Amino acid sequence: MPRLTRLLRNVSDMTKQSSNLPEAYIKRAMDQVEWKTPNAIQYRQTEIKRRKFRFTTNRPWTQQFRQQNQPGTHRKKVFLEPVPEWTFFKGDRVEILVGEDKGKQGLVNYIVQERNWVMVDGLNCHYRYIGKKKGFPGMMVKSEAPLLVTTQVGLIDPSDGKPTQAEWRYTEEGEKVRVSLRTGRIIPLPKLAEETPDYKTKSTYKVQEKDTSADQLTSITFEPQLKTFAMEIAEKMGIKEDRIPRKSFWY
Amino acid sequence: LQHYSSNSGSPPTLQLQQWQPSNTTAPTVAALQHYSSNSVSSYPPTTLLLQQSARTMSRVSALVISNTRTFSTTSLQHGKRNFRKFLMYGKRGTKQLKKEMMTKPDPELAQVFDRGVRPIGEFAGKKFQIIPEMIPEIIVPNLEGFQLKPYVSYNVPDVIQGEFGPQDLFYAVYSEKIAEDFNNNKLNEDGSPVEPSKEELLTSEEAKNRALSMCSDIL
Repeated sequence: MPRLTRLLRNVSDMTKQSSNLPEAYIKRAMDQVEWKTPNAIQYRQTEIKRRKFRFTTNRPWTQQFRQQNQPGTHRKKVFLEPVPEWTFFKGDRVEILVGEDKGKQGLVNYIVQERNWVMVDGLNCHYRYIGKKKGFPGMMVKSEAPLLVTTQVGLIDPSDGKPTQAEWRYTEEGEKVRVSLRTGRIIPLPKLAEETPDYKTKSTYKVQEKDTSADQLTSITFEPQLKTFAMEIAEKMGIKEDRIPRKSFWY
Repeated sequence: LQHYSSNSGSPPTLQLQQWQPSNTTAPTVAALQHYSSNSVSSYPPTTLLLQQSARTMSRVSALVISNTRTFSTTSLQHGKRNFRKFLMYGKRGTKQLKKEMMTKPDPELAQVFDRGVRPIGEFAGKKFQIIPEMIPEIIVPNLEGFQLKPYVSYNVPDVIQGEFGPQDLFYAVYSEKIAEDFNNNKLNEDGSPVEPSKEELLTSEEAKNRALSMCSDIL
């Protein structure tokens, strides 16, 4: 049965890019095979596992996500407005358009593209208690609630500081940029957009002792020779072999 | 099932007929015998037991079915329509046989649980003899002063290199000499060089023999 795995279980590009994890790992971590037919000739090789996931603020490779998408859990369908070109990045200045914090501006903290969500630093918060025990009411924690990118939040135009809709367009040089639809002003990408758990920006990454540096990587030391791999090693190790094997034929 | 007609007029649920075993040939399986009320005989498990009371021989008092099996023999599934997803394992063989198989496994059928580790010797009876030639000799180059590390730094530009194929190897080895000969008019009419180099004198057979002598491709 042809299955379109192009979407990788609908894990979004933003999640993959900001995690720095290989796609094969994410796929493997999300796999929870409920039942697999035995490996015998009379069985058709199939497995029963989840194909539609409930995406949350927990990343798809985490244990909490696994718990939320356990086999047997059935969640209602989340109706999403399809956003063909994602315009929100981490560190973007954004204004909240609904709720208690309506009119307030803040920086984007966290993105869940699979739900069209964005969390603004310190805004649209609620209080909750964690670590509740007998006799201990728990620690109060302030946590942001997610906001829908399509209706509840707007990118701020740098020219006037007011919320707008943005679109991706090409400049004269051929660079793809975000453009405010109201004024036409280019909204530059924030520096934090390329942040990952491994580095803040690629250029500021500190080379560790187990990392190959740039000059080592780009230097070419290969010298093409008319020798097979085994012949080259034998020459280097001083192994001499004059015997020629008997002729063999394939029929 | 054999039909038996009753002596009385009332129609029973099952037709009963008196049957004399002496008239027929050797008794086969599922042979039902006419017997008196006192006699008790054992029957093979696949037969239908009919118990008749002494007074009413015509009427069947109790019908006991024991150990009958049903199966599907429709041609479409070749009789394998049932039990496709029920994993019934451990149903074959008696307990004694299974115990024997666990304690005294047949050497031919015994599964080898080696997890893919290659043996370095052979079993001579019960004793294991190590054959030194079977111990693999791993040749590892000296990595002193080796610059490449296991990971790559993030602040490095992407290196995109094309595949180095046999044509590229040909160009690397022969192209210079061919160009030189062409420019100095040292090529014959058919294109072969007047002063062939060591590589140009190499025939395909000789090249194959050299490669195979070091490492045969059948391995």
